[in-house]
Parts: sequence; structure tokens; C-alpha cells
Amino acid sequence: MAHILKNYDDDLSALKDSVVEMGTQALAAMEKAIKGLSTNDVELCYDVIDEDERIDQQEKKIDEQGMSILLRFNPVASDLRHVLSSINICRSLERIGDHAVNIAKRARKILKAGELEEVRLIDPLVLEARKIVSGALTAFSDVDEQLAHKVIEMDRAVDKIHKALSKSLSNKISGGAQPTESLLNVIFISRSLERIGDLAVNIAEDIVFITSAEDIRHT
Amino acid sequence: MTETSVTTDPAAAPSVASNEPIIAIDDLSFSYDLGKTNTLRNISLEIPAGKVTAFIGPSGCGKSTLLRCLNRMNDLVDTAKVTTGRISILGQDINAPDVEAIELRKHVGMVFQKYNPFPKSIYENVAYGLRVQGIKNKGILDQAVEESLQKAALWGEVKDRLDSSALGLSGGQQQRLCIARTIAVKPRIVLMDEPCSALDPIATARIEELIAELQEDFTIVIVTHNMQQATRVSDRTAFFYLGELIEYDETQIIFGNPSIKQTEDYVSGRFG
Amino acid sequence: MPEKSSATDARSVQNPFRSLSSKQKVRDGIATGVFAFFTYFILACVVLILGKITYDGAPVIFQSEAPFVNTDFFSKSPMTLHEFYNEDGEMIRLDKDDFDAYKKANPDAVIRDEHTFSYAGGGILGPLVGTAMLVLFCMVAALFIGISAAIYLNEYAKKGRVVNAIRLAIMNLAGVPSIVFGLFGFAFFCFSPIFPVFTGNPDWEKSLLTIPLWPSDGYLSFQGWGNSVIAGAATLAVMVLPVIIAACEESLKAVPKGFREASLALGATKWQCIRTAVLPYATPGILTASILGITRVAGETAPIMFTAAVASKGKLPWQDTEGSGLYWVSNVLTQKVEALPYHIYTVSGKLPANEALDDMRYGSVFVFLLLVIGFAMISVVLRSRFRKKLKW
Repeated sequence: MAHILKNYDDDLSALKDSVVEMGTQALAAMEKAIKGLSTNDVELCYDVIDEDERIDQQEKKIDEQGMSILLRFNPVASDLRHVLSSINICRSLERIGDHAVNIAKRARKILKAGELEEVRLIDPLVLEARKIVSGALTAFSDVDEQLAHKVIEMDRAVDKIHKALSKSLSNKISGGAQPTESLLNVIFISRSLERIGDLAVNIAEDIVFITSAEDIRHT
Repeated sequence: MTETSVTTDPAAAPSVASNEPIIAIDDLSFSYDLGKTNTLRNISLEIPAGKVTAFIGPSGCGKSTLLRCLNRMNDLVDTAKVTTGRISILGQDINAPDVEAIELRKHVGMVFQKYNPFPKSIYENVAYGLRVQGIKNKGILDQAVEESLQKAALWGEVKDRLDSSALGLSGGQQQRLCIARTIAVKPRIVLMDEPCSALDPIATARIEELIAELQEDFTIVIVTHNMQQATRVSDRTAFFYLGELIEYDETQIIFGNPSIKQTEDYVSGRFG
Repeated sequence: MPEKSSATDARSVQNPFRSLSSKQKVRDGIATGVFAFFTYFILACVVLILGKITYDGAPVIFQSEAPFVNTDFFSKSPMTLHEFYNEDGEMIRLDKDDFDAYKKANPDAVIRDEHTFSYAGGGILGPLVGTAMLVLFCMVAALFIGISAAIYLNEYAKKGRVVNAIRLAIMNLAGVPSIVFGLFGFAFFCFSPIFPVFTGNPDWEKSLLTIPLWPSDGYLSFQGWGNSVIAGAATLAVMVLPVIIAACEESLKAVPKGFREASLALGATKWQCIRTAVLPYATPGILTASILGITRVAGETAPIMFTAAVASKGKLPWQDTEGSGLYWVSNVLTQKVEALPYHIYTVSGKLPANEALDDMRYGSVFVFLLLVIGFAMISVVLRSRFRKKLKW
């Protein structure tokens, strides 16, 4: 049901749109970094690093919008949770953006050092990470609590794949595989993807808070 | 029946066990036109002692009416009638035939929407309730006046001009004087009917601060249109709509995560 | 016409605030003139009345030498004026008592062409005292009854048809012509034997019940009050009651509901609430209204014509009484009195026009007018003062 104040409604949906837009940006940054790595395209990696500025600005914009709503409309109940969660979610998205930059930087180094067979090994993890982030974003834009719970479940797969991957890569390094530095960078990329999964879980928890007012973090 | 004592010492009043509600409303229906239409319908709620309880709801939802039922101010309306149910205060049905509304009101004081001190001196305003009880002893009155003004956080501002007219005070001071006047008779419960609606934000904040302090000595029931105020001052909130109690819970819950959609729509300002 | 309208159209384009057409101006002027004329007509009437009476009356009351006021006019009651010529042919006018003294002092004085003029001599002390007594007793009774009734109607009675009917009946009382009140008072207060008097010699024929009051040799006799100041005051009280009740109700209604609620919420009983939180703040309004009531009561002739007033009475009420204690009080109250409006009626309406009477006529009317204006002024001043003082 709509608010009596139309401005209030407009501002709330504008806030939501901003968060969704930022989510799209963060997801795109991650995909671009991965694509750069897989297609040997250093330019794409540089793009990601440059475009992170946009994501940071978007975070500031969302903070402003959220604060203005708190200030002007004194939201309560689900509206209040929506605003608080939006601000939380944009923190997570900003860090997803940072991880995308990390991935891009690592990818650049790997590409500089020459082609590496083991890069293919992270593909399953990339697939899962993409699924979990876009799942979290869909759950947010559709206010879908069930999907949010699914996202939280998905993180287990991400963790598992990451663990297995980093173990096998470590084994290769200790087995004398070369170049060590590039392999280490692949491990770091894998870790970034795992962290992105955790951040998607944070987002999903915020969505559950919006819909049910339950704080399920750290439980 | 024993003679009712003149002094209204809270200690002398029947005490309630700490976990028992001080006010228990059970299936109350109330009519302003002798039962033709019910202004309040089947209200049941229990108000805990020593807490601030807020009644919220749109105009005409019956929250003020219910408040006025609690000290039987509705007796002033000739055609007012409790059609069903009962209100127990301190365990006593207040509409029972052997209950005298005047005695009830000594235990259940009321502060009104529009501050209404008498055009008398500040001192006489505070002493009024004691004087109508027949207390003439200057010492007792002096002490009660000072104590009440202290509690109402007004003593410092008026102690040098107790004999000047109450109408010379600012709006906020007048309302605090009305609160002092009410607590001078040492009621157990203080009802407040939109006590800040005629005041500016600073005066409002002072009253809200005062409510928080009075909570230690009195059970407070406050009707307010200002939902922010309800969130600030109250422990529990009851939401009324069209004469019915929709939801009654911890204030945190009513404004954070109400379980009934109507409540959520009202507190978050949606079309009702 | 079409040419003209197009011209105005053109003009309207140029100046949207153009002045009115001459036709409109004329109409506007006529309307203003008519309303102003009637307003100033009323003003002219007032000025004429006041001017004429002041012009003719003021010289009777005021004089050029100290004490500047004609004290005789206020210290003597009306009496016969004697006019005669002395031996030198001078015309002399003397009040009856002065004339008697003159004759006594000069037993062999020559008195020629003696004329007497009833009521033309003396002053208006008797009528003033009579009117004062009537007003005082009337207002005491009317205020007591009126305030009680107003409190009952406004504070105690359940709102509804019955109360509205009572209120309507009271208001209708205000529309009854004063002569009807006079006749009512005459029949009721003067003659119905439910009103008691204390007297030494009761009227055995009229008395319904006579109770000897031992050990005094008097009686409490239910024989009606007869033509008396108390019957007149009671009649006036009945007449002014609607005004008083309406004024009291208005004053009670003007006391904010908040005072009543606050008082009751502090545990006051209804009567305590009315006594301490309503009446004190209604009193100013009641008083100002009562003072206006006084001017009305003081000016009425018809109700006292049959019940209390007498054209001429040698002595003041208390100079002419027997008995002591209750008997004296009863005796004073059951005497007829002179009254200012009735006195004016007598000297102006009942007696033939006469130059010798003019001073008495204009003097009385002038004093009367001053009194009424004075009371009205007091009422206005009090009202504005209370309004300033009591703001809530």
C-alpha cells in the first residue's frame, strides 16, 4: 500500500533503484575482471580498476538518499528496515566492487607473466559466485525472502569449491609447479571470489531483516 | 462501608503485586448515546504498573474516549454509558455502584490537551486538589506544593513567584504546572490526553523528559497524535482504529515490526 | 450601446483597474447615503433628547456658587410650591415648609395673590430613596434566584428537551409587556395571602393564617404584602429574571470547559467545582449584566404603578414606622414608596402643564438620565476591564 506522502514513496523507490543499480555495477565489475583474465584482455582489467570510482560514488549517493529519508520522513517499521538494510547492502556492494578490483589487479599480473593453464580451474567458482551475487540482487529487487535463504545456502558450495581449489593449487606450488607467483595470484582470485560469496550472504541476511525483522546474522 | 480517608497517600491505597496489571480492561464497549452506537468496541488490554503506555490511532478512533473512561470523566456526558465489559483499577471495578468517581479521580489524575491552569496564583493551582479534599494546614500545603513543583521540574523557575498568576507563565510552564497540580494529590495513575499538542518542540521535549522521570512514581497512560512522541516516551503502545483495539505490544514492536498490517500501515503513514 | 461597450472593452485592455462606470458610482453613492442618513438620524435623536434635557435640567441641578449643586433638590422630598406677592409686589416662591416657616416668622406679613402648585417644590429625595430600595431588593432577589436557576440549567440539568423547554419559557418571560408584570405582581404579591408580614395589628379579613408571636404582642400574618416596596421589588425581580438568567448562563458558558474538567479530575465534587472553578470566573460577567439589569429595573414604571409606587409621601419609609426589630423591618418593607420614574410620570403626565413645574420636571428627568447613563458606563468599563484581566 502506498504512503500518503507521494514524495516518501518516490524517495524510497529511488533508494531501491540506486541499490539495484549499484548491484548491477558491482556484478558487472566482477564479471569484467574475470572476462579480462579468461580472454587475456588486460584492457578490461584496467577498465575495472578505473570504474571502481563509479561504484564508490554510488555508495555515497545511497548514503545521502538514505539519510535524507531518515531525516525527512522518520520511517518506521518495514520502511525503516528497508532504509537501514539498503545502507548496509551498499556497504557490501562496495566491498564486492573492491574485490572485483583485486581480481582485476591479480589478473593483470597473471597476464603479464604469460598464459597459465590453471586459470581454467577457477571457472566453477566463478559460475557459483556469479549465481550467488545475482541471486542476492534478485532477492533484493523482488523482496524475496525465500530466494535470500537460498543465497545463504549457496555460499556453502562456494566455500567448498574455494577450499578444494586453493588446496589443489597449494599442492601444485609445493610440488614445484611454475610460475609460483601466478599460481599464488590464482589462489588470491579464488579467495576474492569466496569473499564475494560471503558478502552476497550479508546482503541476503539484510533482505531477511527487511521482510521478517529478524536479525539472522551470526546465528 | 468505611469512611474514605481524606488523605490520598499512595501507600494507603490498595497495592498490586508487581506482575499484576494496575489497569485491566476486559471486553469494554462504550457508548456516547446510551448504547445506540458503540464508540469503543470490545476493548481488552492490561496496563502494567510503573510503565508509560501510549494510545495511538487516527482522530475519532476512541483513544481519548478510552482514556476518559479510566477516571470516569465521561460521567460528565449525560448520555455516556459503558455497554459491556469492565475496567478494573487496582483490582476494583471502577463502574461498580459503590465506587465514587470523585474518590477514583484522586487516584487517577488527568492532564489535558490544552493546558488549563486556573486563573489563580501558581501556589493555589498546585494546592487546589488538596484544598478540595479539605486540607487547610499551611505546612502540609507548602510542602506538597514544593514537592510537586520539584517533581514537575518547575520549582526552580517559579519558586520566587508562587503568588503571581499562573497565566503569566509560558505555555510549556503552564502545562508543567498542570502536571504538578495533578501529582500534588498523589495519584497512582496519571492520564495524559495529548499533553503536548499545544506546545512548541522545546516545551514538548521538556514534557517528554518529565514523563520519563515521573514514570518512577506513577503509572502513565498517554494519548498522542504524535507517533514519534509515542516511540520516545512509551514502553508499550496500543493502536486503536474505529473504536477497536487493533494491536497492543511493546512500543519497539509496534513501531519496529507490528504484527498486524493495519498497524504497520498507520505507523508508517500509508493509506488506511 | 455596442459602441460604448467596445470602447469599454478597449479601455479594459489598457487598464484592468479602471474606475467604476458613472452609473455604478451613482448607485453606490445612493446606497452609502441612505445608510449613513439613518445612522446619523438616530444620532440626531440621541443628541436632541440629551441636549434638550441637559439644557433645561442642568440649571436646576447645578448652580454657579458653591457647592455648585442644588443640595435642596437632593435633600428634600417633593412638596407643594407656594407662590405669592409680598407687600412690595415682589413675587416669592417658597416650598411648603419654607412657606410655613415664613408665615410663622412674620405673622403679619402681607401675602397677596397666593397660588399653590402641587409637587413643584422641594426635591426628589423620596423618589430617589424609593427607587434605590426597589432596585436593591429587586436585584438581591433576582440575582439569588437567577444565578441559582442559571447554575441549575447550565451545570446540573441533563441536556435535553425539558431543559430547552424551560429555557424557552424563561426567554418568553422576557417578551411579556411590563404592564402585565405589574398586574401580576398586584394580584400575586400584593394580595395572595401566602406572603407573610410581621405586624402588630393584622388584617383579619385578608389574612389566611395569623400566628401570634409570644411573648411579643405581634403576629406573623399571611395576608399578602399589599402595595409595598417589597411587592414592587418582587414584581421587578420577576420581570428582570429572564435577563439575569440569560446573562448568567452566558457567563457560565464563557468559563472554559477546561476549568471544570481540571477541577473534577483533581477530585472536586460538583459543587466544589462550581464554587471554586466556575463561579469566580463567571462573576464579572454576571455583575456587568446585572448592572445593565439595574438600569432597566430602575426605569420601569408600569410594574410598580400597581404594586409599590405612590405619588406623594411625606416621609421617608423609615421615618414613618412603628415597632422594633422584625416588626420594624416588616413595616419598612410593606410601605409604599415614591419612585423616580413614577414621580416623573406624575409631574409630567398627570398634572397640567405649568411653568412652575418645569424645574421639577426637567430636574428629575435629568437626574434620572444621569443615573441610567452612569450605570451603563460602569457596566461598560467593568466589562472591558474584566475582559482585559481575565484572558484564558
